[in-house]
Amino acid sequence: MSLIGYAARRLGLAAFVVWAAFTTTFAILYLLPSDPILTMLNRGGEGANVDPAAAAALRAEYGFDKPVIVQYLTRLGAALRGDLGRSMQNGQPVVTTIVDALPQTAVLAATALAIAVVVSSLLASAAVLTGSRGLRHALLSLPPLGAAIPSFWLGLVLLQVFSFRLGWFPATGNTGWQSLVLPAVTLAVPTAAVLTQVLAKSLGSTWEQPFVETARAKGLPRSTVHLRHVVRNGAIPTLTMVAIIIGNTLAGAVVTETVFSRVGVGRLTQSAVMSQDIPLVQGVVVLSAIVFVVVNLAADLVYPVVDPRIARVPATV
Amino acid sequence: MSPHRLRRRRPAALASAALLGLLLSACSGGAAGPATTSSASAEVEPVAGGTYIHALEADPLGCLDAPQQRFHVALNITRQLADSLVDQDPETGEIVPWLAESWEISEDAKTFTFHLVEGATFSDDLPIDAAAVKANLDRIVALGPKAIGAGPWIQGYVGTTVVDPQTVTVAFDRPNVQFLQALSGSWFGLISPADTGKSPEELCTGTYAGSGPFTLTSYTKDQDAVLAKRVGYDWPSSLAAHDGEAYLDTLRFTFVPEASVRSGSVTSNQVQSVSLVTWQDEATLTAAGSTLLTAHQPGLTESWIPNQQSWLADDEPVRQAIRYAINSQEIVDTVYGPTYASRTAPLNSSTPGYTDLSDELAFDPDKARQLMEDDGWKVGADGIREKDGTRLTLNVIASYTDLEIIQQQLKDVGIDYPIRQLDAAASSKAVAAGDYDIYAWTMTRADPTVLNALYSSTWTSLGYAKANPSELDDLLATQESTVDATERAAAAAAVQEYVVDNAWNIPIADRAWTYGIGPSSHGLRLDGETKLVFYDAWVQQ
Repeated sequence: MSLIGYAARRLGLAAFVVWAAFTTTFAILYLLPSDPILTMLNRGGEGANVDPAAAAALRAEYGFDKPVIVQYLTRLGAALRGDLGRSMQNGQPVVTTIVDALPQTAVLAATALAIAVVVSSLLASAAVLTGSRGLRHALLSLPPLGAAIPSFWLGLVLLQVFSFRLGWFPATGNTGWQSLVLPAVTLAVPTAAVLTQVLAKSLGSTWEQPFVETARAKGLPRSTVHLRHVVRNGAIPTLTMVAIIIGNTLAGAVVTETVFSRVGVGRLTQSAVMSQDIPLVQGVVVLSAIVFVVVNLAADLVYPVVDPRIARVPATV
Repeated sequence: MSPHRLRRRRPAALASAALLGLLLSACSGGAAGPATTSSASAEVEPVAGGTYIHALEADPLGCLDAPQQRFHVALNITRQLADSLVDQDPETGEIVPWLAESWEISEDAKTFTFHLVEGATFSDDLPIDAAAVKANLDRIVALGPKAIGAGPWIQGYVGTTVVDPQTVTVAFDRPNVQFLQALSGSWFGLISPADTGKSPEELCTGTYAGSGPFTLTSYTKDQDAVLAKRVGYDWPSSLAAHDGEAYLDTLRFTFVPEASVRSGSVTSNQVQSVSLVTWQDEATLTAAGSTLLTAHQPGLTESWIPNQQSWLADDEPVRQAIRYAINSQEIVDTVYGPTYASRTAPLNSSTPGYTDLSDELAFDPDKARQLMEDDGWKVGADGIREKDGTRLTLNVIASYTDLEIIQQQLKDVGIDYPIRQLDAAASSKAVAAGDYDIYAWTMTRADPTVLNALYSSTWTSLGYAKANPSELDDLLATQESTVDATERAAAAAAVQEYVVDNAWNIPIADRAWTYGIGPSSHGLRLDGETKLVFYDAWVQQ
């Protein structure tokens, strides 16, 4: 298969995934037992008793009186031109609303991911390299613990200690790097737990490979063997997980951003779902689909760099 | 006491607090210092300048246009941006001058004439005159159903006439006494006529020139709304404690959804004050030197409102049984805490026109059982009553935190109340379809007209009762056409007695708001509808 053909196929699949996400959310949201116009006229959370004639007029104004298929095609056509409609909550364009919130979540997720990668590499390496069985067991019992702690609770404990008691970091907001520390740590813990577990296992099995023995037999010190040979091979399984990890991070942002009162896509998702703001929910889902697709694509492109053997074999999807 | 002396005091107080903290324990330290400064603050002179941060419990749902809002979070922000024609004294309920220095109401209560203060301007320097008032009222009517907040109170609007630049007349096609009090609320705050023609979506972003002591610098959804002092402002309400500009240079509202994070933020002095303090957090706050600002929410008591188009309309004994089966004191004691009060009327005790009906609303489960027995509802095998093979089951739309205890209280007399979990969208749809026997509701409105909005068969905007025409309409019409305050209170009392006696309103609990005020916050007060007023507020540097 030629490289261009490979790229075209990957891009076609990516487009399909995004379209499928758009269509599925449209179907689900329109099957829900709610009326977007009544939702809009119900700002404030109470069931509004709306004059049916007025509601019908608004329904026509927003195009919700048309047959579902017409609504679907209209929205799909607009989406292709980059217009995901307007929020039912405040009439602002969905794309602008998401684009405003996205950088904050991206910074938070990237910081959390960086913390998770560093912590998990250190933990996994230490667990593999240590001569003490007891220490290894202790280190390897950390991931299940990290995965079991609810982010919500962890966030509140961190706030209680480092913000309210010690006053080192602000409790809320998006201002300055200080406000990023506690939410990033909260978000990093479950990711670090998963990464450590996978990395420790794969590093451990790589250490048992014959080529490691060869390297050792050549007289290389353990640390050199570990960094130059074992980590490069052992890191590949974690790369495969990158899409899952990004997904978890986005999902974790919902809780983290709420606890730390931060602007972001997570909090936007939460409020959009709560108020059944159909265009906004759809926008967030489409965005998530795009992120998944891009990350997977990037991961596929990074494989050959980490492991040159992969480049010689055409990748299959 | 001068500001200088104050500044000297504070480090000493903090040092003693720190010392105490060392002597006692890390947890309880810090409490003594701020409490001292707080109690001393009553006598000190206000200091102008600085930034004040208040943590609200939610984002204002992306919209800072008051007429389009029923959500109190948004109204707490817009209250600072746009002044009203009149103000309401929260203590007495009396309507007092603000942008209107005086007014007359016609005898038939259909025409209101306002005489405006001179020299007041919007933040784009346009004058606050009769034409501006007309532009504002006209635009609220033009919003139609999108005027979720203001719309219900301007029904029957005929038009506004500009008599001269300082005199304006508003006419209605029906008696509308409540309109005067409605004008005191944030819903009818005045914005510049240069902006009243903007689209509802654009006004939601808050990009309008207001008449208030603060202007909006920025609003970021889910993050904050930053307000700046309006330079040159000098037309505060007659209830204000000072003249001229607001004290604060910058007022910042943050949106903090977690109750414990709000409490922690105020006890650690990261914010000056917070909204919606939970009962559980009250003790933490006061122990750390904060004070609580509480107010009973004027308007409709948290109430169960039978749907007059449901089967309950024809079964008064069951409605009465529900009324007697509710143990309001137990609900307050176990769910809401001591800032709330047990029910005494359909209107909260802080509402003008309130009348005490606590005898009629006593808890009497035996009477509830007897009423249902006599009506043919006999206890079935599982303790739930039945009549002609039909189980006594209630279909209730409610979203309060007391549902489980009410369920238990009703079960004790043999009524089945399966809790129905509905989100806002689903409950809107159920209301539109009339798919409920009872709607649980409360509403802030410091005027008895909230009963008119609910129970009038002609004013249907908030008509969760889906009322049929009845003699109640006449009582409500009297209430809405009586200008004299004393006579109107008597009319409102008659309405309350009627809806309680006929069990068209089953009060549950008298609700209250609790704000947490940190030691550096001073001068914060509430308006007649329990919205925050920051004009007199100042912050200790």
